[in-house]
Amino acid sequence: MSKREGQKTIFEFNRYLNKRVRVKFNGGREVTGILKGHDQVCNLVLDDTEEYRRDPDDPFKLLNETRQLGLVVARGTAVMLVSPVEGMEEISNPFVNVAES
Amino acid sequence: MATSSSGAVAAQATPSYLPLALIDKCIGSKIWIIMKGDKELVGTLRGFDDFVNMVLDDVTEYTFTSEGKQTTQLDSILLNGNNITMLVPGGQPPEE
Amino acid sequence: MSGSTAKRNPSDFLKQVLGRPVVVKLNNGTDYRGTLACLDGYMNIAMEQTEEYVDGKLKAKYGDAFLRGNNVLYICAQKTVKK
Repeated sequence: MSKREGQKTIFEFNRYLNKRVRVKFNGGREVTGILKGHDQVCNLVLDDTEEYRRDPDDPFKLLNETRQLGLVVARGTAVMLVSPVEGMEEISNPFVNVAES
Repeated sequence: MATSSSGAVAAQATPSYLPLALIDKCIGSKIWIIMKGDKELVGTLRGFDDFVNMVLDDVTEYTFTSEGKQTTQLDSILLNGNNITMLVPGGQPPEE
Repeated sequence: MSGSTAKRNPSDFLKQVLGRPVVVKLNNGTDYRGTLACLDGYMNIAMEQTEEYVDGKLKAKYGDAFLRGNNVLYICAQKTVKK
């Protein structure tokens, strides 16, 4: 533990402090929230957190519905992906119409 | 217990929150725990360890299945930290 | 039990429930009710007079049972069995 403490991670979460980030979790859950803090093992503090609801039949498919969670601590062991929301947008599938036209 | 985290709070120059210090502050109050699967628990936090295994009292366990919500009441539990995804201080029960 | 507001860490909890009746729930939803005989830091558990409940229905009884810690979702110390 003490050895790890001194080690720097490659994650530069400080750059995203007080910015909205999207977090994907092992197991399929997905949230966005304002990053308020973090630690060495990727535990995160997120404020104003919204969780995306998932399709009950296919838990890996997201619905557009969200629910408010507020201030949360995300477990580092479950975190899979962290990405700033700003500068990210979902595009329509550019290949879907190719065959039709 | 979380002595190392509270020590780190003092060392931190920026006013950023340390996740485990925040959880430590929740001891004695309600917390809402969101698990990896379709399980959520709401209870009073009594303590936790380095792995974030948690001791909780007066717990309501919610399991969301395709048939609907299933709840179980439990007096006092030790929850394995392995499958925890998120911890919500204050802990409103899931309303749906 | 819930009357005390003192901080209780996982190790305190485990000391407290040793030898007492517990319910152990596994990740797959199976419940084991019995007396907690012994356990270790991995949450490996040895139980006595164990009853196995699958979907709330009694499926089997074991004199001694060992549960591997990685499957354990929680250990519940219950004074009374609520249904």
